[in-house]
Amino acid sequence: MNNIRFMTIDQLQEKLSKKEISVQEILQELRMVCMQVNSNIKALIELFDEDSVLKGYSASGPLRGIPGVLKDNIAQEGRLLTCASKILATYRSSYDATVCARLKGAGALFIGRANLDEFAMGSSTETSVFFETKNPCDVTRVPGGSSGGSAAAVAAGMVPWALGSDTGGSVRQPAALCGIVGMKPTYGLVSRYGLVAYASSLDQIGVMTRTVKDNALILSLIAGHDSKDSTSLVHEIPHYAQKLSDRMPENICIGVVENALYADGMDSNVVQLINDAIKIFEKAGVRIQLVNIPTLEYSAAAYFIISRAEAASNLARFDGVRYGLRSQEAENLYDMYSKTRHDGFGDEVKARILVGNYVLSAGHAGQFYKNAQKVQRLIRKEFLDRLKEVDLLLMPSQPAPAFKMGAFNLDKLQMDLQDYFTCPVNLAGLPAISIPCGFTREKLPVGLQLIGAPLAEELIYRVAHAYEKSTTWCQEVPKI
Amino acid sequence: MAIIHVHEVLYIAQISRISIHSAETDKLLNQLQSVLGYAQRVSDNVVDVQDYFHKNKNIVRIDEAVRANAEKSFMLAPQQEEHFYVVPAVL
Repeated sequence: MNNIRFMTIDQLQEKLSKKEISVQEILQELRMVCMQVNSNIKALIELFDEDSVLKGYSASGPLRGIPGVLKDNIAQEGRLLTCASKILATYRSSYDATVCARLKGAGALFIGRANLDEFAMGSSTETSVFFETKNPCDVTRVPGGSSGGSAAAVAAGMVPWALGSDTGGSVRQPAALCGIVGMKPTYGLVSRYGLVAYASSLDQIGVMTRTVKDNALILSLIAGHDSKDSTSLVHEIPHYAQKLSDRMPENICIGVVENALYADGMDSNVVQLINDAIKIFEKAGVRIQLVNIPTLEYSAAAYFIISRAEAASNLARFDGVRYGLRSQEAENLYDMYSKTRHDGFGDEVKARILVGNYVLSAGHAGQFYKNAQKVQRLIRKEFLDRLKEVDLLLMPSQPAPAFKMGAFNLDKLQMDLQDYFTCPVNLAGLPAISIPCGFTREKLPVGLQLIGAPLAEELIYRVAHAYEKSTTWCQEVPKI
Repeated sequence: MAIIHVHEVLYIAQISRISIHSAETDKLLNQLQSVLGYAQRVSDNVVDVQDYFHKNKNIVRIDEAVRANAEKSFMLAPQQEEHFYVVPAVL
């Protein structure tokens, strides 16, 4: 054994280039780790066999032989694509998502499908129809969600990278709760072709890794225009990882969002750790300025409305006609639709579809949907105005550390409010990264968000990397 | 916020094409009431501003016929016959 568990992409590439290890050995060893760890953590819905992983593998490219996993709402040709839902439990994708094709072309190996909240609707990975994923830092707690399987797989050392999707914080929040790095790029930077849609005006594929440098490498490979996604931006993609330096960039001003950091209900441990991180930034020469984003307090409400309205529309396609589950009890066509959707969707998904159709219905659209759009426009304006005064904004990624499994079973609203600090960034379409900033007294990880102007990923990575180099958080690994 | 009634939940479920069993109604009703009760705070914010993204324009693919593998799609259907999706009687 080469003991490659918890190695970064960088370290694995060095071993490969020195011929100290082969691609097959990396694959075998990490598959072994997956088999050992997954029985406890349950991060993966499926671990692929070695032969199928290597089938058609491109032996060249910047990610040659580096294994990773995709959240199971991203299409991989010939593989099941379940969205952790009964309605798609037997659906097999007939094509690769653009991100999958690009990473395959770069030599990456896909070794499994990561668990998620059903159709990416949740903040704990407890709504998966298959099983709940556990947090590798404390298996009595949730890994966050909805990309909890991807986050747990990376945090537990099963793979060095994973992709998730982020509609209201589903990459950044689980990254924070599991102590890893999670990046949600600018809306339109990464193609969503092959991502099963939840809320199309907010969805964005994001990257999860243990270090900022690895994260930057993966984003460089998946970003860029794609004619198959009409929201895809035409933008030249820099090699983000090559732009990194251990030194903090000069003349940087970070705006600390005061009404986020001291919002009602913030965990005191989280506030303390973020204040400690701010001191580290200051010590590195960063100028800190306190700012306020007043509309923040309306953002979760606007997010609830817009995301559920779009979900109701997007999920209308799952009706038992062309693919997926079909109820066998139906006597007529309407019966087939309604029974299939009743049996196929879980409780949370059904509730979100109903809320979505309620807020769009005649008589309610003005009160809910149109007002939510006004809030969204105001949030965009406030973020962009603040980002004219400072280079980056800093906010918590989470109001509290990872919570116990089942903690919000009786209060779903509190679960939904876990997105309080992440969803405004989706509403504004901005890029944001969550990076580890320490551990609570109970040894639970905490993350902070750095938010930039549209297409400011390069600056975000440079500042995040310099911060990471002045701390040791990314070297801490769970004892599992 | 106005109270949501059971008949409204059932009506929304009907237009959502989701059958709801009577045992599920109360739980759904409470969940909808809770989320919508919170969401209505968007009405408190009456300020509107010009959309910063108003200069964005839709970009669509060129409308051209491409050869697709229909077999692959039909293979995924719960029931199909000679390149038609088979569904229960409409009436």
